[in-house]
Amino acid sequence: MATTTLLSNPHVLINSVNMSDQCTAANFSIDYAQLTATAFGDVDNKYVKGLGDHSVTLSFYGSFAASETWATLNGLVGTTTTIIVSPEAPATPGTYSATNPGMTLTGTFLASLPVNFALGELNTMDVVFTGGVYSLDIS
Amino acid sequence: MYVILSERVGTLGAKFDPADGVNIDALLAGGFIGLSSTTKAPKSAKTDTDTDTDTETDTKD
Repeated sequence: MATTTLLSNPHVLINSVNMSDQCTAANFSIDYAQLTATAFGDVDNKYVKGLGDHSVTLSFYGSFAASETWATLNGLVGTTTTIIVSPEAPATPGTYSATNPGMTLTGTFLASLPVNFALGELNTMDVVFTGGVYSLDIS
Repeated sequence: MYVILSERVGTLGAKFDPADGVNIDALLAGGFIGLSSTTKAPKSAKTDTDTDTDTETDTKD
């Protein structure tokens, strides 16, 4: 049965900063434009891959302490960076494998940094990194 | 040359070699890394200095 239960292992590296202990959700979306390639004579639609338009949505607890969430994300707003998400923390930093691939977006853009405050709850920061070059590090 | 200042990036005090696409300015601003103090400043160009003086000092009393 091909299932994976994520308890506490996923590893999130933002701009080389390990933010796994503040992250509660990560959605790494690999998307490509779907271009129609259907022509006269075809009886079924055909498609080819267009431009990639990838994104990573991350939810963090909003710590404002030194070296925490705010310090990591604030300097990235309006700029590009590299994000790596993997199912588990690599045994050796930066070394991924086929069973623990490093899903990487290089040059991905952070447009905004919404900070959520709610009475009686831990404050959170939910960010969306868009664009960039997708690669899968399995070396 | 950069040095790691936060355990979130790696071993404290270790040399930081940025990967492709890493935003160095944000890491510096957030205090995660710093400039290595062991980096030697480039030497200034050697220049000849004329140490000869035109005036002589009379040491005799």
